[in-house]
Amino acid sequence: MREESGPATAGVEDGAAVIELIGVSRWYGQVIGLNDVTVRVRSGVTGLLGPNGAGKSTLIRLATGQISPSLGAVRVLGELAFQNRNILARLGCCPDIEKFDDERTGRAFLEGAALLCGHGRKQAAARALDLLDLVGLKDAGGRPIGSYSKGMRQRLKLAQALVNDPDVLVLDEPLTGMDPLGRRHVVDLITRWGAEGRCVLVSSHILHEIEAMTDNVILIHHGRVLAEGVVHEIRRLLRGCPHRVTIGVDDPRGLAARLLPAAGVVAFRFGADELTVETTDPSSLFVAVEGVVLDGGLEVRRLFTQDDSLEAVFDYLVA
Amino acid sequence: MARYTPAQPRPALPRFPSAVWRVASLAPFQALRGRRLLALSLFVLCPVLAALLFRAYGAARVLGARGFTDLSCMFYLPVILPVTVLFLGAGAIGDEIDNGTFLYLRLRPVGRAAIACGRYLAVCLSAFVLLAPPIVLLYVLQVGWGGAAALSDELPLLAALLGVVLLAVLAYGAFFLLLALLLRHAVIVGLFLVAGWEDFVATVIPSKAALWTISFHLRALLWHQAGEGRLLTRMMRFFVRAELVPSATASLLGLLIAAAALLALACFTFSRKEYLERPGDA
Repeated sequence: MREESGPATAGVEDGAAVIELIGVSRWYGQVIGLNDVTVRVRSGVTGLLGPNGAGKSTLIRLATGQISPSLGAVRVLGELAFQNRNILARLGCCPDIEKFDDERTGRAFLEGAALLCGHGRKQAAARALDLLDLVGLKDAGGRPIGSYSKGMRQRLKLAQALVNDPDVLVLDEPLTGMDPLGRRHVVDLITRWGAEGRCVLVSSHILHEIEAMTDNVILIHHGRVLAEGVVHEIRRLLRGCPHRVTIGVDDPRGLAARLLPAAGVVAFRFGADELTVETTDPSSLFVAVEGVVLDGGLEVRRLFTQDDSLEAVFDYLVA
Repeated sequence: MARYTPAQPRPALPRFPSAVWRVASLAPFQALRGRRLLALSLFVLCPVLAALLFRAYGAARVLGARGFTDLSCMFYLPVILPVTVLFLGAGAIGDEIDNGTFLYLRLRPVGRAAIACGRYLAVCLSAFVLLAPPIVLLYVLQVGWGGAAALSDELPLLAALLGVVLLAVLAYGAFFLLLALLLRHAVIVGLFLVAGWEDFVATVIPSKAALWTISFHLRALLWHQAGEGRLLTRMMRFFVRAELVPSATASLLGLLIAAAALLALACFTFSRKEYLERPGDA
């Protein structure tokens, strides 16, 4: 049987937006899922963060062409996404659903997925075995999915997302239900896929999961994108919210007195053996601390910023 | 970031017929499992059990080719066949939509029309595989009462009935697939349609509305095959109103066109519909 010419196998262009949502709104009846969202996702790993009900699933459904936008346009690899076979040939999705056909074996499930992607029977069988090996399910491949643990199901979902060796991977809560070892393994895999140049969009409502994979994030809340970009850059732009820097020192009050002239210092909080400084200009503070240390008289044991983390940024934005 | 290049060229996307076959081959007899398989198997065997009883009690009056035609016309065509196809057709895609696993199919580079046609093909195959053996068994029990000669003499009747069953599976399969794509409780609505429209209108109400039912044309085809009255029993005359019976060609074409139109409509409906695994979850 003659086959259609295959999807373009050229990879993702350097720096080009792979997933683009332009002025996208999406309603479910009277409920709004996304509200006038414009966002561009490039190659590498990008975290999609937001609390439950923020609009992450809607964004993922739009990006994978499952639903169409009520307003605006969704493009993936330069083409409109909705039910586009060319895109689906180059896209893998790990959905946030628990269901499988429990009577099927993991291997049969993956073989079926590979067949639908255009592989022949033999290649499909080989691809299924490769993927089972990749996600650590080689020994369980012949068992019915009904006998799999939650973590194993999660791995199988990841495997089926890779069946077409995709340029674009959309992973919805991929670490749910996994044990710590499994999480470590999957985080490594995701990081590797991003390093290979794939565009990997990972959604989660657990901040440290995303932090372990990337510092490039899209923060979403109530259907709107609050911020996108590198976490530290986003934090830097939040000038209205002072950074909190904690300094471990024997004499917190003495240190506070010497840091008072530094530019941007807003407030001090004193602990038994530490001082927390709120500042709008952390660079000046660090220079001032350096000066104190070099001048002598005070031993600084540790220094760290509490809120360059994704969690702090998210708290600031949502609050 | 360096661009991603697949290690090996991706396979070509399957063309429509290939995609249909791939979808169908992944769901062979998917709806025929567990309790549903058991229930449907018992259901399609009911006339066979009746025939066994007839033979056990030597009820010669209801055995033979005429009895076979009667039982087929009374049980298989109006009740067993549509209800069986209804359960299979409604489950062809509906089961996966209901339990959420349909998403895995939807995320593959296969068109919605290919999915609908593939599942339709799977439904037709499984329905025919489920229905044909008991009909053959019924034929052996009923017609075989008259001896081996009768069995071979009446083979055209069996072939005709199996042909009618195939047509019925094609037409009802498309109808119930469409119904399942349009309605959430397709089985309940389908049962009402079978009992009310297909059976009541086609047999009881004296109007030309019967011409718009599938079952009427199926019986009409059997009527033609019944040999110009040789096998026309009182039962057949009750089920088929002679004054309305169209030509066999008209019925045949009508059923094929109806199946094609219903399938096209199902594909169209399916390709335009959005499915959410967790409705309301934004």
